[in-house]
Amino acid sequence: MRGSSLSHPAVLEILRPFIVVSWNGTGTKDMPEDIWKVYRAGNLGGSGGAIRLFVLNPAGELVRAFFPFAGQSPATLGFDYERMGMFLKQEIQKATVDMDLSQLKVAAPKLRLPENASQSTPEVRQMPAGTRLLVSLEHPFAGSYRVPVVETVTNTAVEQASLRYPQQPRTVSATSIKRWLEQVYPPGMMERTGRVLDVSGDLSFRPAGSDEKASYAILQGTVHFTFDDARKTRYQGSLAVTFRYTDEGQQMQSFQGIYRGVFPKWDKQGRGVAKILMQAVLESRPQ
Amino acid sequence: MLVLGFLCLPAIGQAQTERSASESRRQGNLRRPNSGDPLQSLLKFVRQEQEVEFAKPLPEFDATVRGAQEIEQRFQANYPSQKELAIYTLDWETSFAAAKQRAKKENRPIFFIVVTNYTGPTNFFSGHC
Repeated sequence: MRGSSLSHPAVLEILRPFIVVSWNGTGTKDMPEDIWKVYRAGNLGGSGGAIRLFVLNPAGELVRAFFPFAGQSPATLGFDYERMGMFLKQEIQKATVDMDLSQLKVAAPKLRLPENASQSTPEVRQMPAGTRLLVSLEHPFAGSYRVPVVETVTNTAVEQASLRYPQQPRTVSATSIKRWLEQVYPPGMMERTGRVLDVSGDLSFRPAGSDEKASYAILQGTVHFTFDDARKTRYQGSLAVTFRYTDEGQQMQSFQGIYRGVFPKWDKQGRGVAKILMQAVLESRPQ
Repeated sequence: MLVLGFLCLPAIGQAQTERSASESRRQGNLRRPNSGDPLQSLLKFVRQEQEVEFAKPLPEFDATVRGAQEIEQRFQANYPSQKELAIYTLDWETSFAAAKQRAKKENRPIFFIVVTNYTGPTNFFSGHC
């Protein structure tokens, strides 16, 4: 839905007056009471898929509940971007028919990417507080990855110690930045936890000169991943990150990096493999 | 579908594809598009080239200011576009409680997305589900 109907310009436009929020869980058992109340009041039954949508009025009262697709999955709309977008727009319109949204002042659309929830870890003073990763994917015959995954990680003393300015070239284990790298995987695998179990690899960390603005260092190498699916899929990719330091290398100011690799996705019968192309950018936050 | 997916990855640009195709030609191992629907054949060919490109390690960047800046330039080039990130132009709130509080204060409706995914934790906002 992120990459299909929700990204459709007509849906984005109709949602401008709304405050948008999501809740995720493995079922209704772990649902907080206030969410369960809305969910139950929606009375949608159990056959429309894992995503349910609710429109509430400003008082927080349920106006309408509906599924994002005409049936259980986008397949019922032929995985057609236009049809899915129009279907969702119409469903939202039905919910707002008695609401006068014309008086609402809507701010001009502004890109606000996810930021680190917590400001910083107290012991992290020599590097930026957080890391943001944007992972773009392309499946050879599915269009569900049109919107990149955007994850944030709060940096800790582990990353700070591992990435202090390299006076001489040295090797840094990929495990020391595992908290960043474990965000680099394709979503929606629907097997076991569907997350990264392990990362490994030796990365070269080299000083890269300085100019009037900063001293530079480059971290580069191949990262090996083990994924928690039925096959314990192994995949690898290539990483390169530039770090900028000030105060003669004492203070890391910012970093920007890139990753690219291929995830081999076996079909459930083990008959063939689809190569999912993965590309990520990572950046320090705040900049 | 593939065309839209292809557009998701701005760094896999035409120039890069052409470059890798010409490298491939120089090495004498060009994989020619299949016969049949020319568009499908072309897309298949481009896709094969992308797979080759993505399987390769990144070039070894010089340990110089220029090398460091080259990585930063690639970062900029590979950064997803505003269009790809358009869902983040919506007014997201981080929790249902906070959304209700703001809705009341600002007299605005709420669009609430609930995902119950039995196979494991999901995060609709980040996209890892």
